[in-house]
Amino acid sequence: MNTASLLSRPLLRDNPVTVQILGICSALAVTTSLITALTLCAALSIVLCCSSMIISALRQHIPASTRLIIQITIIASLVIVVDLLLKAYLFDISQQLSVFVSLIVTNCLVLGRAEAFAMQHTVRESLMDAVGNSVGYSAVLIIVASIRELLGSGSLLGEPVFTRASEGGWFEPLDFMLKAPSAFFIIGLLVWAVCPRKRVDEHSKTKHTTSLVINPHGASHE
Amino acid sequence: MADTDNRQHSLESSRLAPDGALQNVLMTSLVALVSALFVSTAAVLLQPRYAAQQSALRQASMANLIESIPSLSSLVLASDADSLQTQLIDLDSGCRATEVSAAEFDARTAENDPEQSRALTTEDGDAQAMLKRRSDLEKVHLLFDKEQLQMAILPVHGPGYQSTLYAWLVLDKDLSSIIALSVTEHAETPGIGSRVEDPAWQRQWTDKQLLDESGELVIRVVKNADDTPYQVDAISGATRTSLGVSNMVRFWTGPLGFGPFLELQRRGEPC
Amino acid sequence: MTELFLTSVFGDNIALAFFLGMCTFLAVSRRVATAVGLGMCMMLVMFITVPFNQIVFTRLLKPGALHGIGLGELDVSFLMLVCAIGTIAATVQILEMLLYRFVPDLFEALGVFLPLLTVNCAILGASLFMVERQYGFVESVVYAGGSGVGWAMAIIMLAAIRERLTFSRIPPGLQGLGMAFIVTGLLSMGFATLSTGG
Repeated sequence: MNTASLLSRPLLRDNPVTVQILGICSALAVTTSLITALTLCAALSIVLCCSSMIISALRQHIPASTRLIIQITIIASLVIVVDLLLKAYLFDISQQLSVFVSLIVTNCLVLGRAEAFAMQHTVRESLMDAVGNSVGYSAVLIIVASIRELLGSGSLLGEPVFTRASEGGWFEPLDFMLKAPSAFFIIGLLVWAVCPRKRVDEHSKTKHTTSLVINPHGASHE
Repeated sequence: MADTDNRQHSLESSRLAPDGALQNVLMTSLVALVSALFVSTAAVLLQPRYAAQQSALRQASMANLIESIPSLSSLVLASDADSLQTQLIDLDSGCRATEVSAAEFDARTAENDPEQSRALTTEDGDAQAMLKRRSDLEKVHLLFDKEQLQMAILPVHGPGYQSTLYAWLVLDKDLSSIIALSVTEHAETPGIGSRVEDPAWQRQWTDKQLLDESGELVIRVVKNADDTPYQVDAISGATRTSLGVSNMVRFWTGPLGFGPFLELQRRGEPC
Repeated sequence: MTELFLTSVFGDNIALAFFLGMCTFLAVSRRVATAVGLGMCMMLVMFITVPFNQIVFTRLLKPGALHGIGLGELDVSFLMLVCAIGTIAATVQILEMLLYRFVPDLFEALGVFLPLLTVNCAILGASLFMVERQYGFVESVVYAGGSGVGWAMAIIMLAAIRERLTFSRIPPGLQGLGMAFIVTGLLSMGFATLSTGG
């Protein structure tokens, strides 16, 4: 696979959130403000790129029976260190992100790419794939967070954009945007906007997840 | 579809790694060891910086508090230079604790040490609304002017919706009128519960009263509060966090918190 | 305790209020039969792992936990994440083996989604919330039970709706995943009325 396609496919055609259904939980929960979304995207991108590279480098040595736990150990260690870095250098933001940074460990995107791609490709290709998926994921999060923060608080990155009615302006913040369901609707509409004519391929979802089957007897199967 | 090729390839390449028991044990142990070293090193290196940030934040919060409330800062300026005293109070008796120095005391570590704290049970109140443990001693910051108490700054904390809230409660000289409430730490839902930090909401607490005329502790946060000085309006959509603030204030001004201390001070019998 | 249970089932529904376990939630909710099976597994794994993690945290990891053997100063709570995952991975592996041996029909029906529980954010999230809110042992059990029931209920509801939606006239771009998101949003709004907010 050439670099260009590795980098560009996850943006639209194979977008982690809208097509692969990976990494949804954080896409919904941290997008109430743009700055928290950006921080999580940065943290996730670092973890995704590093874990893909490490797992790809070790792919010849990871036995099939224990590969899930080995991958998870590597990912978890990276997440802990990123969390520690966040707490040490970006203290205020880390307070808000607490549980969700830890949840990057179970973010299906990181494990999904490790299993579906990094285990079969070279380090360079895995890095390109990780970068592509990070960008695709971040793009969706940024769009959702921008809409939610703008309409929900009238601000962007904490800076007021619309003058609020409580301060003599015209804008009445839409509290609904800061709540749970709005994120679902925005992503649903985003999915529609991304492929308005093509029927979504239902089978593509199961294909991604079948790669993680492990038969208790040790051999993996489809 | 390209994915099928990928998966076929994965079966091939993972078969290259021998799958025997020895290989499994060796590989998992090796990965575990290296990860452990990596994480521990990072933790040890970064912990001091994190701890420094936390204590800097807490120290700065006192200075920020004084700056942000005009009446506070003018009072501090008008009084003597060393008039903001820190005292260590024994919560059960309400008296000053003399065996431990206030400067060396850290309430958060004490809270977790079974020898310096006690567990709070259902006999003490509603488990959902309270902390799990309470330290035996706590610091208070008192502002004196010519030996007259002008103001008390109490550190309060309690469970919110999904995190622990930390705040300063500033009381006027009658120890019933509230000058200010300032939430300094929390990890509530951004945009919703986090609004307890908004100056606009916190301003509501100014001039509210802890006690009514008969001396009962009546202050609370309610939905659609009326205009009396005993009620604060909850943040719409953030009821649980608002109630967390309410429970926190009521706990620390009540018999299990600074209540005994405040009572003694109000009667003019500090000990 | 009843209030804690009811809140974790309805008001604080771990799927519809905290959005945990969304990937599996959206992917498995196309047929009610699989959704029920997965819900059951979810409940079981949560019920075992959250209380177990509570013990591990309070007796081993939290600051002051090792007081009894003279290591009261030690704070290894940063290891909670890895320990929690270890517990969950082990539980899921054992569950998998038990199902394969004793309930092979369910094992076949679930296929890939059983091992996927190892990385389910709802299960890990439940343990992490338990740590955050400092639950005692009994509270952990109640909370785990409630969260499991809540998640299972949510996915079965969504599956039932999606099964019927296959016969509705929906714009092509919205069919499948797009509609699933929107319906989940509506479900979430419904459940929000049961919560007192936060």
